[in-house]
Amino acid sequence: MSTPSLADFADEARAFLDAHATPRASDGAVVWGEGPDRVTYFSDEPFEVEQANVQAARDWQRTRFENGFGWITGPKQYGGRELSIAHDLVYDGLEAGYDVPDTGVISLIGLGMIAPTMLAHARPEINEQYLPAMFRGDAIACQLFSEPNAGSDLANVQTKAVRDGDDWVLNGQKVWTSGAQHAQLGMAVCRTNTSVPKHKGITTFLIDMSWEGVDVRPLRQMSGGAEFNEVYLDDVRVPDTHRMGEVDDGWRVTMTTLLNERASVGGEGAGPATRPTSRANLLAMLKATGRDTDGGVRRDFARVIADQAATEYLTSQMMRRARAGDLPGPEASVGKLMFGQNLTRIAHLAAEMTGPRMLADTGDWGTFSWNELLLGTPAFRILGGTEEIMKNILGERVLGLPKEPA
Amino acid sequence: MTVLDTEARAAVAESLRDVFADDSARDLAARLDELGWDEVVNEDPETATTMLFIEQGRALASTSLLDDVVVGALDPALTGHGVLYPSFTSVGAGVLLGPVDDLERVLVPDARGVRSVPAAALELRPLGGFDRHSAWQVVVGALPDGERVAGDWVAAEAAGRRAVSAEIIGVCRAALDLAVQYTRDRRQYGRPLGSFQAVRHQLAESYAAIEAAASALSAAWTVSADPALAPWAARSAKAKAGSAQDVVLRRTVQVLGAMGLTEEGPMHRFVERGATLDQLLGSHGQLVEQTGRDLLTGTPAHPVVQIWEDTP
Ligand SMILES: Cc1cc2nc3c(=O)[nH]c(=O)nc-3n(C[C@H](O)[C@H](O)[C@H](O)COP(=O)(O)OP(=O)(O)OC[C@H]3O[C@@H](n4cnc5c(N)ncnc54)[C@H](O)[C@@H]3O)c2cc1C
Repeated sequence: MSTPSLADFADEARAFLDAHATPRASDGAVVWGEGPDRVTYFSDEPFEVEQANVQAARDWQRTRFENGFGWITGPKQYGGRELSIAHDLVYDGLEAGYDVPDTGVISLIGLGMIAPTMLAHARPEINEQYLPAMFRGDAIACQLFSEPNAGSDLANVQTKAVRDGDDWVLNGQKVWTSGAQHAQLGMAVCRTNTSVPKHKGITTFLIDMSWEGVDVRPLRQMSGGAEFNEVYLDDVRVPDTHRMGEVDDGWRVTMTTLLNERASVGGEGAGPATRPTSRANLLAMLKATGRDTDGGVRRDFARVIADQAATEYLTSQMMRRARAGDLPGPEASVGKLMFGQNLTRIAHLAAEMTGPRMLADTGDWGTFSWNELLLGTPAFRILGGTEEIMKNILGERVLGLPKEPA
Repeated sequence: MTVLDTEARAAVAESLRDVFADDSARDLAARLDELGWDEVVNEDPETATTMLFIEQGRALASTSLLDDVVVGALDPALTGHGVLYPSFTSVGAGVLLGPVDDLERVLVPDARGVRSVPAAALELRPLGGFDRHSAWQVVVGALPDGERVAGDWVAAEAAGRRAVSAEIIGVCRAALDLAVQYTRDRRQYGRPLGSFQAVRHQLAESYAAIEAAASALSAAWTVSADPALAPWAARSAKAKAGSAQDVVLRRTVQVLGAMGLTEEGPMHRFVERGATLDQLLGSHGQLVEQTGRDLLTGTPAHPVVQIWEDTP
């Protein structure tokens, strides 16, 4: 089958979407007081509601996949269509006009960070086994990187992997693992050599979260969400086939994931916060709260919109390159930094507009839910590498400043 | 004018910490009586009030001590009444510091002054929302009628603002202590976090913001007896404390990394309490705006200027 032209592909996508989803009522215009007003990035829904959301995400991802839109740019052997980034972007643009379930729980980490890492570093038979399942929505993947003593200093991981015949035996504790409670797969960064500099003794593995010895315990966030977890690994046996990259060369594998993460936070990364932080929604809020005549608020609003536009362009360029298989460089830190700062400022602008109502659960549409975002935004300044670390990277790797004394 | 010397203050602070840490059945008033608190207040009201509320903030205690300050400034004869604080939510007539079980009457400020209404007639609902650990209640439904009481709400509000400022300072100091301890102990890249300039600068900025707020509060106390200046100065102090909590808590959360964001750690409680106290008796945003409006309409000069001129 030859590559469809963009126009033909768009027709095909439209036909698919019309058959399986409802167009959004209005194209981006926001009617204040109508529709959902949740703004949390991290789910703080009751467990059953969250389960239902995850199921809806899986169902929608399967529908996409079965109709040829699940992995537009992916290799055919793993269920992809091997089309161009342009096709991918066309689809994204069209789908945005429809009311479809949010699939962030599947796409942000699993499809956005771990799948590209697997393509680059895992064995073909492992990719065959897992990638189609991931893109079909069956296998959600999580990132088993951080540990109690390895946060910013990730290369300090202590979780041990010891060779035993054709297997490895993993022991250790991971922490802050987003989505582990829903995950079938995890990418674990482990210590395999203690007699070399820390970056040179790391090996990465893909593990099945249902294997014996994997124990997931939820941690609650202050925004209310029980989104991240502790994961204990206790004598978990991992076949050597599940190793990604060479033994002791896992830092390179890990960096593939991290660079994809920095590029994607800020792209699709806003998740459910995309709608409420959109220009249309902020504008509607400005009018609804009667603050549209306040010069100070108008100026803040305009600044936020300008910054958002700049950040969106930057991250879309970066995503485009990342999807083309071109690993983003240290400059990806700029996008992450800008995104985090924008979100913080938007939350404060919203606080300024809604006033103190934000603090109480008054049930008013569009007000209290914002404080979830206010409590949730600090997370963006931490996850995927903290703001301070992003600045260090820019200072040292991009600007070439001397390193801080160690 | 402060009377207590440094040593005496340290002793008082320690006793107050014990009072707030005491989780026995005896109520707070009984514990403070035991301490002979009234005497301390009489001897040095500024130090006593400020220390009491700083410790309340540190302990994240949710009490009705503020009512006593506000009512005391309004008319000491009314002591024992509750206070309905102007609403900062879009529902309800106002906020109470706790349930009204022990209260007979509640004082309600309005445009014409203050009236006293029967507590039993109020319909309450927990404030909920942001700070789930406070005992605060929202009064919903219509307010009952009540008789007018004498007393100057403007002065009472100023006294309340000085107390809440101290409480916010207490919240901030405890959060900063926590962050300092954490960044001393935790190591990354083989060094304590506190040895990275990016981290220490955030802690130093926090310290500076707290000290500025504390100094604005001391300045407010120097004019507390002057009916013309006290309200201005108390408003400035409260605005300064409110903006300090914004500066301090954003930074202390950041330097804790993910630990600052989880409910497993204590930091989130300071964030929630700080933001909620900022709203009580006017947020820093509102107070600064109000001051701007007053200046434009020709209300007398900013009191801090006055203070500088008056202080030898
Ligand atoms: C919501 C959320 C979701 C997450 N999801 C995942 C996940 O799915 N999987 C996973 O593995 N991890 C996850 N993380 C963990 C995240 O990667 C770490 O929190 C992050 O790398 C920081 O590590 P830390 O929390 O240990 O902070 P620390 O490294 O202890 O840092 C504390 C403070 O010190 C500063 N600091 C540290 N080193 C330096 C330095 N050299 N110079 C200047 N300042 C410095 C930091 O910037 C920060 O302000 C998540 C975190 C959050 C908040």
